[in-house]
Amino acid sequence: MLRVEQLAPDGAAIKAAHGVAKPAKWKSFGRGEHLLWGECLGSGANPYQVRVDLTDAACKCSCPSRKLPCKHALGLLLLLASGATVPQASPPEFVQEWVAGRAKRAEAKETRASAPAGPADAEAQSRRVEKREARVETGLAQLEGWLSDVVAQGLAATRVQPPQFWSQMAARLVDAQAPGLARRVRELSELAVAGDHWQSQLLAGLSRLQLLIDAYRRIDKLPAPLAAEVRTLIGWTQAQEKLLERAGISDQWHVLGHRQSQEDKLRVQSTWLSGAESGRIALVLEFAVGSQPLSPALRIGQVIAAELVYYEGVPPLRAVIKQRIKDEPSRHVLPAAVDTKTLQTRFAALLAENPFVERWPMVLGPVKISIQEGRTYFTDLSGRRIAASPNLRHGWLLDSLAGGGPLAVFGLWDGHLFDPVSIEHSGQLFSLAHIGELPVLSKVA
Amino acid sequence: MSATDAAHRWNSIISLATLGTNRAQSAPDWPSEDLPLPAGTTERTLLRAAAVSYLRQISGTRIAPVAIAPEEPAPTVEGKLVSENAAWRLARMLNGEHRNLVPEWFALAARGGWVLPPHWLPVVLDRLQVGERVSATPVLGQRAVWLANRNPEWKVSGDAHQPSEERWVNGTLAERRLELAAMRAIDPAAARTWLQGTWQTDPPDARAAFLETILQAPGLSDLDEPFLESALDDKRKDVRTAAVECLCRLPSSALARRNLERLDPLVTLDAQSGGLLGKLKKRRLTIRLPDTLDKASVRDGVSAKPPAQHKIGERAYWLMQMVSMASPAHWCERFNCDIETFLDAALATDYATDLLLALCEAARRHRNAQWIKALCNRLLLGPDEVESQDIARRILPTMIVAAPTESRDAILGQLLGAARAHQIDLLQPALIAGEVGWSADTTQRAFKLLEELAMEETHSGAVVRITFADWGSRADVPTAAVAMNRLLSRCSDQSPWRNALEKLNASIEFRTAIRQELLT
Repeated sequence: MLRVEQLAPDGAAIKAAHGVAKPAKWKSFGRGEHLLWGECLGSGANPYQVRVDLTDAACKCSCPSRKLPCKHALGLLLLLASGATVPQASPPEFVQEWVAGRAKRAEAKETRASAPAGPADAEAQSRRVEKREARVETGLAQLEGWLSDVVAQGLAATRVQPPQFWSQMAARLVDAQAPGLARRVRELSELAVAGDHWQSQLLAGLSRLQLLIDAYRRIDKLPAPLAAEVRTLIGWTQAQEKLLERAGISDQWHVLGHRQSQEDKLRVQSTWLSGAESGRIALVLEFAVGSQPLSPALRIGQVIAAELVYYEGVPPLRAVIKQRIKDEPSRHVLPAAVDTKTLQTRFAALLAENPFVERWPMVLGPVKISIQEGRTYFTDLSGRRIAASPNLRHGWLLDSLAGGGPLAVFGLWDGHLFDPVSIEHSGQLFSLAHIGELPVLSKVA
Repeated sequence: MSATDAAHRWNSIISLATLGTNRAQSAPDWPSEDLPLPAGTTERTLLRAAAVSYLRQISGTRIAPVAIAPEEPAPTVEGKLVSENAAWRLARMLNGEHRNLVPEWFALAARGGWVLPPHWLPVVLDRLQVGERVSATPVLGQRAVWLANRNPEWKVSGDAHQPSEERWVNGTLAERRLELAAMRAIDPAAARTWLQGTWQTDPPDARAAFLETILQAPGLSDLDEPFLESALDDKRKDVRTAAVECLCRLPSSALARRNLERLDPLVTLDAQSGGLLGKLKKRRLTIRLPDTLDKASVRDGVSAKPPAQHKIGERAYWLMQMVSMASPAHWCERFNCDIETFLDAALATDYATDLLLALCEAARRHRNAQWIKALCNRLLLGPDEVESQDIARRILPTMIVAAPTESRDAILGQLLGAARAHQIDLLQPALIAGEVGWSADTTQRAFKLLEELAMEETHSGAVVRITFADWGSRADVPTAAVAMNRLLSRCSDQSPWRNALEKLNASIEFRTAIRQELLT
């Protein structure tokens, strides 16, 4: 039940789904080996045809809802999860059509990926690259001018700027095909209106943009890995198809955390994994535009034997799963945790390698929770205390769970604040989740 | 460079940047001897210097340990822990889904001896209403007490409100009423002493409001009589009326006695005739209207003129007020008869409707369960005229609310047993008014009537079908689940009832699920 509810796009969808999660609402339903389908009686003349692929929770419904999954698909999954008898049958036509369509699209994608780039393509591509380089140059010049203006007017003046002040600069950077810079500018706009230490945070962000511009202009003089990192930060993408040709790292990858966020019109699903043997941490990102579905996340605590290929980076973090070999038994503990001092030392070492690192995934622990004036703090055994982000709404839940005892926390450290993603408490894993607007700690079963 | 220097340098750059290079007099210091100063404008130099300082500061500084005051660890959670599924359901309820069933969830959980896992407590503590808190306490467990010590917003106010004389003397009117009610619940005599202490100087509105509190709070007794009797001579009518309301509820009060002394000569019931035939013969009630209204009667709360909209003669109005003040039990004692005999006789007089209403008011005032039950039946089975049906629809809910809580289900059950299908909409306000769960028997009867009504497709009338969804929170769950299955299988998709029944079914199913998750 919990997992179905976590697929829901929002709280209203869960509520609506419970309304249709009963046999009486369905004209017919059935399931195959890994398919689930049904015809839901709605307000329209024809029943809505719902199809779900249980392997990746992809679904399609003939209803007009823009939510994905819609209430009918969720309702059907809830019905199945509640233990209702769903007859085994061979899929009806509307399901077969959908399955065939999906297979065809997947095949087409594969063909595109494996098609060798011809010489004509190569020429066209190098022209495209040149054009983009020129655009990025223009964007950098605009950004540099804007940064200077901000500093000339003073940071205090930014606090009274309308949101367009930031969004227009970000939009120009998107036009200049530098989406990485655009994202950083958008994030700055939140710092300018944030509470404590806003000047420090804002100036840190602005100055690192200048540093990034300087670095990109001298990219030829940078060591190759850092040069690749800088290009990625500006917004150049590394082709996944090329990456998949490389040999990856095979390991038992343990899922430490999972989060969905919204970046402009893009939904981003982040999954953090930790290699049992390599001890390395990896971030797998997935993107979806609008109502496009995201493939169901790996569950927290899950362990998969898989081959991962890292994107170039300093140090490498983002990765893609090249091959998932098999599922291993789940582990409900976090890997070796560090204390606050080690956290800071490691972050300093990261900055020495790559001064643009904004935040890094780490396991902190054992820590005790305290809450002062609505702000959550993590204190390690030596009495060193760091704060959680001020908009963390799970603080009291953590405090109650810990009951004055120690916790280990997996989260992101940005040098100032710790942003928790999942928690380990006496051999149990919990993820920070929501029901609608309600913050909850979801216990990993 | 020391950490203090790095921090100092970083702070001075922040000050400069906050002010802006246009206004700042000084240029930024270049923070490094090792790094060459790149060429560029002041603004760029400032940004570059900021980048270097920031990175140095963040890499070089370490948080200093602080002495942590030893904290009291939470007691380990004991008891059976509520399953995650059940807790998710509770959270959904607190978030608005079937919100009205939260008290029931806690009652079931408490009965099963369940305790909520700690990681759910803040969600619940933030959203429980004050009134729900006490019954939830066993399910929240010891960890909630520990948490409330850390977050004062969650202090358990479970123990009764401790009255404070300070607030009684100096508070606002609303605060003073709360203090008086709280004191009344603990020590009625002390509360009366408080009231008498300020009575002479309290404004008339406050005096009336305090007597209202005395009437509503528990603790009204004969010991209050001398004080209440003196209030009958108050200058303000509201105060006098409130005093009458209190005194007529005390059957041995002088006011009650005076009322009966005036009333008894006006009402007579034929003696039971002897012999077998005499037993079958109905007894006859004779009513004589009072000729005049003396000052003493007015002092005891009888109004001279009926309200404009009330169609009744003046003399009849005086009598009915007296009847409505007297304890209904008085009639059975005086005439040595049962309730039904008296009601038969009363409803055979020319004053049937007025007497019925007056007796209803008397039964409500004296919270007499037997009389309420008998009168409800009479209201329901009254003549099939619009006027008497309207009276029944209006009066029945007030009767149910006035009945002692433990007798409400039986009264509803009896009404449902006696009602015909089309009368169900007449009963509906009464069924919903009593905030009590129904027994299996009552539920069975209610659903039988509903089924008859829903199958009778032609009957559309003025039934507001969707109000039947309110049954969902009151019905006995296993009985209702069976009845609902039957009802839904018989009800066609096109039926105008479909929507309302589905809605009703949804809450029954939800309550079934709660029970399954909290099975012992």
